[in-house]
Amino acid sequence: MKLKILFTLLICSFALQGFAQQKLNTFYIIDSSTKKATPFVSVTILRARLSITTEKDGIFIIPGDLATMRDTVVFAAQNYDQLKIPINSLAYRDTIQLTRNEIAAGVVSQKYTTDTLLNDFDKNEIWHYAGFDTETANFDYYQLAQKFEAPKTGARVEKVKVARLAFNDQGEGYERVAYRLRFYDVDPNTLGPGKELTGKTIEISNGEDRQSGVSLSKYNIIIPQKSFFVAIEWLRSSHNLGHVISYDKKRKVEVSHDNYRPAIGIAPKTGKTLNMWALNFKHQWQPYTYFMPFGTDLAIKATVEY
Amino acid sequence: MYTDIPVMNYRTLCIAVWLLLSTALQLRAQNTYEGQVIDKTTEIAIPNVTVVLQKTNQATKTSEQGYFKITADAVSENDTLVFSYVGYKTLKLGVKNSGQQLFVTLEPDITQLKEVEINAGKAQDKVLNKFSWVDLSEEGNNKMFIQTHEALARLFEAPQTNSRLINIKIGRRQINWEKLRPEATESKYARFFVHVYAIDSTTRHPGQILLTKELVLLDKAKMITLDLSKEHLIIPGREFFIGIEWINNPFNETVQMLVTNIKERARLNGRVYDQTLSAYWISYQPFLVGYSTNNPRGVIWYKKEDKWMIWNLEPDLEIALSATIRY
Repeated sequence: MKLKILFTLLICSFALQGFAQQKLNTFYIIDSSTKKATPFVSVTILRARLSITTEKDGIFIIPGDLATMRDTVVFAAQNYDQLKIPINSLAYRDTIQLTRNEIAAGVVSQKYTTDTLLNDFDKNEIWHYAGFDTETANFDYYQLAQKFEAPKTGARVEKVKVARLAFNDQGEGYERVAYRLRFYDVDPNTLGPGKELTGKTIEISNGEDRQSGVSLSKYNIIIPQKSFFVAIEWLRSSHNLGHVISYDKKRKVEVSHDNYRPAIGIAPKTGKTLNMWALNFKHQWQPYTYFMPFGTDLAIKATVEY
Repeated sequence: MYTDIPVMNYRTLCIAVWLLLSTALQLRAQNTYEGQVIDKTTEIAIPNVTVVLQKTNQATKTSEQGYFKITADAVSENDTLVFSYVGYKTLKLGVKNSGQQLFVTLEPDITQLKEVEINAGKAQDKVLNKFSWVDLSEEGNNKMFIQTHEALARLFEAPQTNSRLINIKIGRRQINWEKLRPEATESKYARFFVHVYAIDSTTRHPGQILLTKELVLLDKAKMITLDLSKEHLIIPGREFFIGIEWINNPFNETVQMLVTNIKERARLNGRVYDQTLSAYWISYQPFLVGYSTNNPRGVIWYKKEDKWMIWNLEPDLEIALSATIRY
């Protein structure tokens, strides 16, 4: 319980006057059909630019008088429709129901005889990382996606490898991390990530290396066109929590921000085509131009079979 | 449904072990040799030096800052690195004697230089605040890295007025990922400004800017030379400043992990545990070398909120910034 409240302090610091004096509003996020807890929901308060991910129990707490607050809360989870409501509408309820919208599994319609590695890079040549606030910009994103081009339509994603920033935690092993992989088709209008290609939750919680790989054949992630996206989804939970310290130019002091691991490597390649997209707190995909022109790709490799 | 990385059965385990051993052998089979080639006399970087790994016949050329990197396809302990350039004696270095980051000094070939010497004239060159590659090596005098949010400048004094500034040398520090506690990311990229200032006669801090150059570094060269011989820059007085101005942008970003000793309770999938909170510190290249010296240290100023302030470094610490003047 203490952890959930602590969490919520992070997202409601703008309204906090004194923790002991505030009413604690507890909410339960549930599936509208089964009435069971919806796990790992991202809860974002838009104007305040605060966001957390709930645990398996779908519980979160907001302290304060919600009826007087002016902001919008967005609830988003894989396989569920997104819900966006005014924060003051939570004043007289304790349950939020999300409607399931599950993605159908891909159907294997061909024999796979060969495979190709896409976006290969030398992990020893990674010099930049995305995933934390810096002096020049805040990292207010849920996901970063890398665009790939398969050799043929109907290919299947066989495996993915992700290179991340991982310091040796004071001799205790590499820093712990947990994040998810999401897969998308291309949106024909924006050319960014569009429809999800799998409803399966694929989580990587490997703290043992700077590069993590996962085998994906059993999920049958079929690529309808040739282009597709592999995205990293951040879990803004206590497991990944750390701080980042940078210089605030306006205030002329060093400031500390909350930060969630991982930081993903930027592939050591330059080109004219930007292949990185970011999902912002408004749940809008936009090209991720922070490292342009010298960084156009994330350090994510994908092997596709066809 | 939540899925972790698959658990291996025995057959898969055997294959995995075999692959791991093969990969380890392959890693040992590849050796990377990198470093900087400099003039033995002037310790200025030499670009376009041909570097050849003799047995595998792999070759490369040094960059503008004399940096090279060559990765051997196959292991051969008896292989030799050969460095050659017009005007210098060819140097052969057995790979057994090579370390991680080399400083290779080439000796000028006097027989080739004689004609140049005759035509050189009677001007003298003097290096102000001279430092050597030993001062840049972590096994040597390199004690710390120096970096500010805005700019710094060091005061120099030429032997006479109206000297010509020929070059500036900067010692850059690479943070060693494995040795440093806490850890930091390496970054070979750096983009920054170098300024030459006149001295403000009233305040004694950097005054009018006489010259500005933008430097873009794309490799791990430690000793950076900025050639100003074609600028024909004359320093009016005897005293002048050379300064570095940082550009705090994504290109120059590095990340360092700080020790916090703060324990916090964390949860994952219902499991509760304590973890030490990690903190990342974002800073920007370049990191300059501060090295130990017995010589009197120069006056260094740094800029904060657009105001120049004296920087009180330890008296035995000098910044790796030199100027070659001709008079």
